Amino acid sequence: MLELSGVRANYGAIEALKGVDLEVKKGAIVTLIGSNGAGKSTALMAVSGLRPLSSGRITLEGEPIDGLPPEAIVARGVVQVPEGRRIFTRMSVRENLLMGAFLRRDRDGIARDLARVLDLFPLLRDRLKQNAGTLSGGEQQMLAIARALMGRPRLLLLDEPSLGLAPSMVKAIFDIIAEIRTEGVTLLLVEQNVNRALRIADDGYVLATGAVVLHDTPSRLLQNEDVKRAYLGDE
Amino acid sequence: MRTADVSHVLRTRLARAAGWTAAFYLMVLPLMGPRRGLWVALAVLVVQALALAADRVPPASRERFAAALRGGGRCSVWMEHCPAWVRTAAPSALLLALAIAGLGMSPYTLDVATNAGIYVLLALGLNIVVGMAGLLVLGYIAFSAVGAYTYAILNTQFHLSFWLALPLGGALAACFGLLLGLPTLRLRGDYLAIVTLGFGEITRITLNNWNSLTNGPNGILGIKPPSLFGFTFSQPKHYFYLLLGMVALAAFFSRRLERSRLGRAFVAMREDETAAESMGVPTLRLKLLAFTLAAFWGGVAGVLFASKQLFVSPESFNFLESVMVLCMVVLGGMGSVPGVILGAVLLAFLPEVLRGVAEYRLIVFGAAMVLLMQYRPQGIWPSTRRYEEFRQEA
Repeated sequence: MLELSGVRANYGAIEALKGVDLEVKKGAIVTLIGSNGAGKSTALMAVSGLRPLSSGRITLEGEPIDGLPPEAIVARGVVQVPEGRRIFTRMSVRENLLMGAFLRRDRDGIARDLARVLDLFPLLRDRLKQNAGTLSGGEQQMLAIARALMGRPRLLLLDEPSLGLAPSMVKAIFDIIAEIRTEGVTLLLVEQNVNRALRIADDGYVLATGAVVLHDTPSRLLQNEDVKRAYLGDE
Repeated sequence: MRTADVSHVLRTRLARAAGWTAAFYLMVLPLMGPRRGLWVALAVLVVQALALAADRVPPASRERFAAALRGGGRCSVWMEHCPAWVRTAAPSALLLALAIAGLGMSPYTLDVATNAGIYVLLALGLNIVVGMAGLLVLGYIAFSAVGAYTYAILNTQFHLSFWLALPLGGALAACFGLLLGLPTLRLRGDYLAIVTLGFGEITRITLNNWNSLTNGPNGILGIKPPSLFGFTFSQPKHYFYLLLGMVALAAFFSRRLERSRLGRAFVAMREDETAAESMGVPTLRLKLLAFTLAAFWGGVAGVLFASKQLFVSPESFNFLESVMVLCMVVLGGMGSVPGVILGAVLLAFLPEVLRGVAEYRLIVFGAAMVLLMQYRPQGIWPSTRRYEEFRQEA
């Protein structure tokens, strides 16, 4: 569904991505792991069109999408849940959700999806009128995912969804990720919680200093000595 | 605290108070002369004494007082809890009350109210770009100048009717907004403010020097008042009702915009541009749109201004006017339609109310602004959003 080939991107003189090749198959959960500064977020931003490429190619179902503006990429069904949630804290929960559907014009469809998303995240239902900034960290992450779902994504890009959350919330988030997949949404997941990410994923890539250093099935990555040492600690 | 400490604190305070008083005296000396300057010095001294006295008040009660002032901005929150019919009926009721009140007003009051109406239009327009989209624009009055001169020139040269000039002046101002916005909206906040300030000055200077078109500093005389089916607007009350109608229209438009998908996107963009972009909001295009809409209302206000004054000259569009409109938006409560209207009306009436103190007007005005921003930085009637924002910070 999504393919990155030889993707390079810079922050000024610093090369954050040094030729990344990656493939996401339709209906799969693919996880991208690696330490801080490995280029995971940059890779997602490149897919979303928020970070321009210096070279390389990104295709969605065979069609090139690199160089398109972010709104065109969202319109094609690729939606990102940004790192740090980045919800609109001074807007109500409801307004946040409606912002997720910004590019859609089908009122009925939006209303239906609003109901569907609230079924998926029942705790948001009671807080529709509340300012999003008053939600807890976990609730904000739920809202960020719900907001992205309002855009009817075919491919959802999740950037560190469990970062800084309490263990019970982390579990809830991963349960939801699994549920989203059953609805036919493809997911590309960037995570620092390597253990959980690999247990839910169908395919795994390890990124280090801007390049893919390992690509394997999650079960094999979980057994890999280098991965164990670098990302899993002594679990 | 020991007595020695207290007297030491008191001494430094007194020395500081004396210093400020002297400084203010010297500052107003060239403006007001030695005798009247003393009054200002006295006022400063009184303020200092009040500040000293305030320090004696226990911190808890002071905190309560400050909180009461800050919390006073619940109007919008309170409105949200009103039954729906109250919320829909309130603006219409207010409009009706004003229309009836207009019957009993003196020509002088009507005239001031009409001017206030023009300011309300300007403030509502500027609120779209500053309050909703969060872009600081400093030379806003230039758009009004475009509208005013459009009507002045086309009416005196080609006898263009007011009713045609109204949308035309707005549209032309919107074009200027678009032209200015295209190259500048990529700039970040402060730079945008400076560029728009420059644009405002360039517009005024151009009007001042383009003699063949604008008659330079002498301005354009002999503009015809608006007329409708043989009825000519000639008295203050005619203009009062014209402005009342226009303000109602602009307020309705602003309200609808605020609640629309577009208005939501403006606010989202102000909140977090990158997040808005990742939702598919074309930020550059929307900024341009906010800019153009604001310019349009500026132009409309300009046409009304020209049609009321029947005379335009560049000095009506100086930088201070832009600042004034910005103050109205900030003071009333950025992004809040009722707040901005209230701010504009208050600031438009304040100089009239302060006529009694003649040349001290600006000082009192300045002091009022400083005090308001000190104690109610969110504005008089903030939007629910801004209210929450400041409550969280407090």
